Amino acid sequence: MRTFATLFLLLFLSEAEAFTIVNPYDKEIKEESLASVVVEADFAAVDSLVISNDANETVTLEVNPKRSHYCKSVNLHLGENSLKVVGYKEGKVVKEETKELFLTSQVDKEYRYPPKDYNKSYFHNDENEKICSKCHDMSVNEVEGVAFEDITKSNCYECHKKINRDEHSHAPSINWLCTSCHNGNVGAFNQTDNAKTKYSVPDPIEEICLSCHKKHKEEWSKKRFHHEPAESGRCNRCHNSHSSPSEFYLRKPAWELCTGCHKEKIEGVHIVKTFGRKAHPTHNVKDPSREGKDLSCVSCHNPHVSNAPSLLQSESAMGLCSRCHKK
Amino acid sequence: MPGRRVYRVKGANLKKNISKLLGALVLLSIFAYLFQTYSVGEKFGRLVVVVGNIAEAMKNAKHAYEDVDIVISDDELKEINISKISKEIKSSIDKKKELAASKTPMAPAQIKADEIRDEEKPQHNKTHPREAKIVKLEDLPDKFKPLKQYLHQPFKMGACQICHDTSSKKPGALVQKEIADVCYECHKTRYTKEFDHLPVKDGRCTDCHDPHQSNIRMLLKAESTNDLCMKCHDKKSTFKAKAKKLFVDMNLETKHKPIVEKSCLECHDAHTADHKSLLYMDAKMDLCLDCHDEVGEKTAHSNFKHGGVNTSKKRCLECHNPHATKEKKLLNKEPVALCLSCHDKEVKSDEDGGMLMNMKKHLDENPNWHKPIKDVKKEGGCSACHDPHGSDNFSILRKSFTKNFYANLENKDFFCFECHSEKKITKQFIASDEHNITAFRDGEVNLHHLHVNDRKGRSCRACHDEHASKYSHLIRDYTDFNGIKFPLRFIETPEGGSCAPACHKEFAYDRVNPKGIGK
Repeated sequence: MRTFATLFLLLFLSEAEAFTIVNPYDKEIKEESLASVVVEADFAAVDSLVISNDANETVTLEVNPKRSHYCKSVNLHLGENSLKVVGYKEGKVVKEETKELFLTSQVDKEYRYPPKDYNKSYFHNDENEKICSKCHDMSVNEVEGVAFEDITKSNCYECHKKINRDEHSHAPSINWLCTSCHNGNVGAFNQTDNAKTKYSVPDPIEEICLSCHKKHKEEWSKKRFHHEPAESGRCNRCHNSHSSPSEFYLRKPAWELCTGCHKEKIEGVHIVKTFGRKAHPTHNVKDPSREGKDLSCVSCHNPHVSNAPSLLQSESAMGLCSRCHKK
Repeated sequence: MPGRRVYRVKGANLKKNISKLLGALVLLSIFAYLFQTYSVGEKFGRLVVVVGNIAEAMKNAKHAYEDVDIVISDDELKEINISKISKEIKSSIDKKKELAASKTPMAPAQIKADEIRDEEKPQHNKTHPREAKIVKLEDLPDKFKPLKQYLHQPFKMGACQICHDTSSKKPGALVQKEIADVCYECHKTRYTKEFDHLPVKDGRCTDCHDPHQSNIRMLLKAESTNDLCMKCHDKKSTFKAKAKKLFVDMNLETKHKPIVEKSCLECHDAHTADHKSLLYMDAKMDLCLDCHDEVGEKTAHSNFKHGGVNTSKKRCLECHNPHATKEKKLLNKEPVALCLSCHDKEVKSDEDGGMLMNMKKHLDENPNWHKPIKDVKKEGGCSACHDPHGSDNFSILRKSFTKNFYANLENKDFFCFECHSEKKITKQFIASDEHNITAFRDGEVNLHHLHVNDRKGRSCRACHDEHASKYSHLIRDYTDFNGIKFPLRFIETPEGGSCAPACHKEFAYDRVNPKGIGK
């Protein structure tokens, strides 16, 4: 009986030692559409690793005896993702492991609240950094207030370079001034993050944003009506402070972004019905008031503040219409 | 004949009545106006009071003073210190007498003539009264001939005895041991101010003055005042002053006008003064501002002041030499080098307490300099843009500029356009015959215009460093945006270049083969 038990234990151990996924954890909540996968692999038990996501994008990592840890970034889609890592030894599957992840989105009601069994995780703590520091310099090499002449010199760059992959990149992000926002502080909405990671960002993020965008602070306080995210100082709800395919670093193109919360505006008649019995368009046409841009919610509404009700861009109704209907 | 004055109103002549009424009204209003302007009411009120008073006085016409009976008891008398009072009265009477005596003309002299003679005889300590012996000018020794323009009064009189001891066997022996004592015998004003000229202090009057005669006023021992001073104070002079700073090199190109046109004595006193260096006023500033009052106005009342002149130790003399220098404007050193002698470290600004950059380090590190400082002789150095005496514009700039990253250039009167053409900014497209306007263009598209003429136009300083840069065209290596330094990452190619600042991703431009920016 005892020998059987030890045999089982040995078998289990050998199985476990083939590879272990250091990051991400199972049932983890993600905020960026990227997951950094860190796998610790034993060359004796496994010679190649295949990481795949739900979109069947696969990455193959060759295990070599000199390295113990292997990192790779994998794309995620909104909602529940399963991330599969398969270890092969001489063509045979040695071990298979799956991690469930949930990518949330603040601008999509469907994905704003992850299921209860998912948890937030924190990577940059001393314990994890010790593992990374075998290959990476984990110190912050940023000079406060001076951007890198060569951005690849940033210690953050190597692991996080994909974060700036989209067309429109926020200046502090593309210049790798990470700690100017990731200052390790927490705000009223993320008190639970306190001291769990070195590079937490306060939520609401307002104080950080307005430390550069000072003009907004003065102008907005004078206005009568405020859009809720702007009022509560959670700029990052709509804006991706790293990079985005949309202008103004919006998480989605403006119209889609707005209708993510204001879903009732997608269908039905918005704005007066004209004599042609057609509703006023809200998208998919050119915006006459803004040269070269498409019509969207922001053509008529100010997404931040306004003196006019409904956050209209103009205080008088005629003034609003005459932005486009000039005659 | 009262009948004539009566107006005859027959029937109801309405027209006539109305005109009368109107006339009365006009008269009334004129009267009211005069009443108001000359405050007749007030004057009348005063008249009433005065008349009332006179009437009152006439009514009780009794102008005799009444006797006052005061009874002082013996006890009360004892308490009064009569002796003290009497003394006081006496002294006051004496004083009055003295005053009266001094005012009265001198009484005829009652003193004997002998006594007067005794008084007028020289009261020298060591010498005995001598017989007066007047030497005629013809009898003077040959060395005094021919006579010069200005003669010392005793010399002119031939009263050699006033100074010289004729009884001594030694020729030219003085009546007193020290020359100064002889001089002070007549020139009684002793020099008692805080600072004395060394010859004065040592009593060497004859170092400068000839006691007999001279062709120069004040009996100076030189061709002119300045020559006399330079005898000792010239750098080449053999005079061994204790401190070297007493030497003045007047052979340098730029000389201070008062010295050349007038003399050293415009600023210095030859004998004694209350201020250092024998100056009439405080040397650091007051003396200079006595003539250069427009500079004083600037230094005192500018919004932005230069610490070098306002709060420094030597004030004007920090930069200027009061005598002569090699440089223009009597500067101590070559213009830029002079400024950098202080700005070779971070200096605290007087206005906001912020630190001014270490300009020397900045210029040393960045080889491409802005033309005014590169071509100092022609352009004037730092002072081409900065007014070292103070200015109403920040950074003591001679004209306005902006501190901001964003500045719409419309209606902005920027200093830069004093030298640089405004067309660089205002022209959207640059035709082939105007290529010299700017090289920052993509084909014909003026990229200056693209950057500047916008809702959020960037100011010149967003991309250019006004002083020096390691890149050509004074392109900054870092631009300051909200306190963060972002590199511009400028790379120049033969016909264009590229930038990858924080503002946008890498964009390239080419003058010959346009890359299509701004289209």
